[in-house]
Amino acid sequence: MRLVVRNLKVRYKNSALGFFWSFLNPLTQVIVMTIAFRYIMGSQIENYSVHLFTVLLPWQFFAQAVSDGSVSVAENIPLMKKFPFPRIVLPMSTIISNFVHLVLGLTVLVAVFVVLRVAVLPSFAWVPLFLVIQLMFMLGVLMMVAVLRMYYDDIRFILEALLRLWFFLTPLLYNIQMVMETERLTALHKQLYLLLNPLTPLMIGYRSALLEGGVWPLADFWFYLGVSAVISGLVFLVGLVVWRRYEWQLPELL
Amino acid sequence: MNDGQYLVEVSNLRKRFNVRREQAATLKRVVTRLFRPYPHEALWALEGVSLSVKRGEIVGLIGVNGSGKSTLLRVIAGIYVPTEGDVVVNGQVGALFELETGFSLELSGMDNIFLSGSLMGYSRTQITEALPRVAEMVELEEFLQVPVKAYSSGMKFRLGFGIAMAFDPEVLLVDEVMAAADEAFQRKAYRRLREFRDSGSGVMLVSHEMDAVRSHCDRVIWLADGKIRAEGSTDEVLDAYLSEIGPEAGNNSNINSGR
Ligand SMILES: Nc1ncnc2c1ncn2[C@@H]1O[C@H](COP(=O)(O)OP(=O)(O)O)[C@@H](O)[C@H]1O
Ligand SMILES: [Mg+2]
Repeated sequence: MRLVVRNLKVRYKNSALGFFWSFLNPLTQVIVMTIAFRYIMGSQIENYSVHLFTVLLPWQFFAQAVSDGSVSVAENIPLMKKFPFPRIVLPMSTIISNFVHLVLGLTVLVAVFVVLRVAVLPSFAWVPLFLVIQLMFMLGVLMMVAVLRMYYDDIRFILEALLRLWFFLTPLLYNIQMVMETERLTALHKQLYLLLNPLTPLMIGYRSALLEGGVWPLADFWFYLGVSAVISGLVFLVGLVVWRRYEWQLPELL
Repeated sequence: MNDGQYLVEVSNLRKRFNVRREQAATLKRVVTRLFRPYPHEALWALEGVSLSVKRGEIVGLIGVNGSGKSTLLRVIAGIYVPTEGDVVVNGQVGALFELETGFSLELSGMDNIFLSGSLMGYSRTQITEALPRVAEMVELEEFLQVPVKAYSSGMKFRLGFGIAMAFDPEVLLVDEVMAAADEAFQRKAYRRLREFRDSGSGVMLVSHEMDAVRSHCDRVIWLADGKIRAEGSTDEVLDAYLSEIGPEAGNNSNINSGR
């Protein structure tokens, strides 16, 4: 764990405002999107910015850590060529430093709630559960991507495009009720939408735990969350197998 | 201490690298080759090397560029895994590889000491304890707070040497770096190596400076094309090596192996 802290230090050495920037990023996104969706397209959701911010924090955690992580492994080949430290430190340190951002962001969010005298809800207690599932999923994805990255340089472009697409396929800009109520999607589509993307139930969860007092907008919320947890667990296991197989070859690859 | 007198035992070590032909695999190539085994060439950097290092000796490792010296040291250090064969190391390893790698250039010398120390698996208190020893050895007091990117190669060598020696390793691996230091510091560094040997540790020294090898090594191993070409007393092996690579290539040369 000390190694992780050390790596954090390397990354933020030169930007005293490092953590601040990471907070500013979702903030500007929220402002832009609020203007776009609330005022231009006339979205019906109340408190649109708060809604958006609540899910953008964990989304950003996911997207940023996955894209940083593969880069960090590639960038640290010189270190790997010099010291036989446990290679898992590299993806872990990316996840942890991004996790620190997330926790700071959530703290600010709660502080805002307090200032606005919005009730601090007991349903906040669900958040750690969602985080554990998300962490498992992320670590799995990251271990696979980091190894792939060493073999196929193109993976980062594919990843970027994928993340962009993923962003719209996850209930961030819109809420899940809108998906469930629309008549343009068949029931099958809706099922696939909920089952295949492990981030969907998580985002639903964050939003409702933090804003709606744990009134789950879906009757089967816990079932979908369970599916998400199972998929995340599998992704984690596959990632671990891939990682174990290749971790000591990472510095050999040119 | 350890019961065995061998610090390092390498038996029948073979190491294969898979080298890609292209610089980078692009999407098109990946797709067209998705269903075929990825084409890589096997390059055997080490082809059956057996050797040992005992307590209390400095072993010189010589050979032209590309003969496998760095690969051998990295396998011993646990950075590369052997493809075949065994490597047994009885004791803490300290390593001093190429200077340009492994320092975080943005960080100060001090932070690099902490970073390297923790990557070697030492705790913060252990590193703090070792700090005065490193500082004394490197003679860089005013520079320890300066980012390493501002260091000359001699200064990087001092820092790397200090870090490698800081935690009292029992085996020290040194790869072609001594030449970077100035006369005075080189003398100091070699003196440290001899003290280190006399206290019962072992050193493997890769160098192209034949004079230095001749005066400091107890024994020399000559590596050629991933195999041990000759090994034995310093003078014999060096003379054989020098007569093979040509007399004009005597000292401090960068011989190109033609690979
Ligand atoms: N990471 C690597 N991937 C592929 N080939 C490598 C790698 N490292 C070394 N080699 C090859 O292995 C051979 C031995 O290299 P090296 O051990 O660096 O030689 P030396 O240190 O004696 O100059 C060379 O042919 C080199 O090209
Ligand atoms: Mg070399």
